[in-house]
Amino acid sequence: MNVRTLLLSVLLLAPVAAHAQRMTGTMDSRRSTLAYAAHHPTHDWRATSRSVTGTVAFDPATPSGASVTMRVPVESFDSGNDSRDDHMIDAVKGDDFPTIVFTSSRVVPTAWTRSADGWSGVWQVTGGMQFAGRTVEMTLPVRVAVRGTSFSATSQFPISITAFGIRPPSLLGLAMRDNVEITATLAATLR
Amino acid sequence: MRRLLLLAVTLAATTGAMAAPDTTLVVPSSPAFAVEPSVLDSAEVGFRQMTEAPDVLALPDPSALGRMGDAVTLPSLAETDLPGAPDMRPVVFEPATQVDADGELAPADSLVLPARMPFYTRMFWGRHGLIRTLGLAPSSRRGELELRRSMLTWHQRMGLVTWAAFTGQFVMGEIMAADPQKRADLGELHRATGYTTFALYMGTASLSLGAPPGRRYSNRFSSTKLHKYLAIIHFSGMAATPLLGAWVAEGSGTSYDTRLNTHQWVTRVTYAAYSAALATMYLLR
Repeated sequence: MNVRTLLLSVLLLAPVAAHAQRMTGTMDSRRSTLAYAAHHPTHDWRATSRSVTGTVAFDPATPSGASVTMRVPVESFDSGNDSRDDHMIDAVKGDDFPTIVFTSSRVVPTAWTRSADGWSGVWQVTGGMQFAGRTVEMTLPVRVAVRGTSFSATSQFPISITAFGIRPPSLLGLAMRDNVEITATLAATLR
Repeated sequence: MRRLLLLAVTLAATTGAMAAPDTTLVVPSSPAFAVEPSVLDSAEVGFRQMTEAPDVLALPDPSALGRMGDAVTLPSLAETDLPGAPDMRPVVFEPATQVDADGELAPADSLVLPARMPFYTRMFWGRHGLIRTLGLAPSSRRGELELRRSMLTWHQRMGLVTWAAFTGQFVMGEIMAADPQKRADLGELHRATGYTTFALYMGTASLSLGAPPGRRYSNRFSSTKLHKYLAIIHFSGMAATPLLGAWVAEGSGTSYDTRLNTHQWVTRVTYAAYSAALATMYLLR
């Protein structure tokens, strides 16, 4: 193999190496939120945590090998009503299990497209949600976008709090609904 | 040169799908991926705040993805530890009391209480509050929080019972005020149920006023804050109502009608404030 051949091979292999690169990132707590929308027979409310931490690691060319971890302190949810937030911490056993953790075990990209801006699409992320002392496996639809080194993901999904062994807390004799809608907005800078 | 050309063609074919702009990654063509996009709806998930999904969207069979509630093996906590991540361990509550140099019970040095406690909470449960001074406080903050939850739950229950008793008492008083004959017939009953309502009310109020401090207090306005502001009105009214009732029956110096009107309007305002305080908890976010 002469020098010219070697040089050309290196040039041609460079894009392959770039695409095969596994990128990792740490969640940016300033731009990441996890919110829940809960329902009582007489009113609804929404609480948001701005203390989301976690990591994401994946290769844009083969996102099925991606891994995502997310952690949120239970006490960080703010609904604008201290008394209600206090009650929710009690209800979800927040003193014994102070952190909600989601750890992915499988990622299936159902649509993953590359454009001039970067990559975007939808992943079905299967993993375990640790909450209130119980781990429940769930598959979440996550819309993912990668623009340069900026990673963003959004997902909206319902959970059943009784599936986590939580007795729905009640106000004045009426219990809140079992189903709670979760909205996750995650942002990370990739390396 | 031919070898070089062959190598270039091979590499170009390998990288083509990834390097070309606006190219779609081919998802494995197993039958599990031949599900219509409407699966999103049937799975009760959606992207209301997101832009339209690409046309190429094809979702996997939900049954192949596992169901909520299935057992799952996950990495241990140690394996998922992250630098700077929140602590996964249960909250450790330091003892709230200690024995001081004189052998007396005193608040523990490690006791951390929330800022901006209401004055009545501080009076009972502050570092030098009455409950701690008397040595009646639970031995840990955890115990205090459990006691608080229990007291506030009973506050809610008794609040409803008190509202029912107050409603009966209020209606009876209005009937008596409108009909002198009924006033004579129901006078003793009104007095007895009045004392009962008063006792229920004070019991309900003491469960809230005497509860240990919560985890945090802010200055923001909320339905709970409105509930407390209304409580100032109905507590004042409820404290005055029995005295006014006695004044109506036995007072002198002013006309009977004036005394009756005063009692009636104070009770109306008190009842309205109490009902509104109850409604704020049900109806406001």
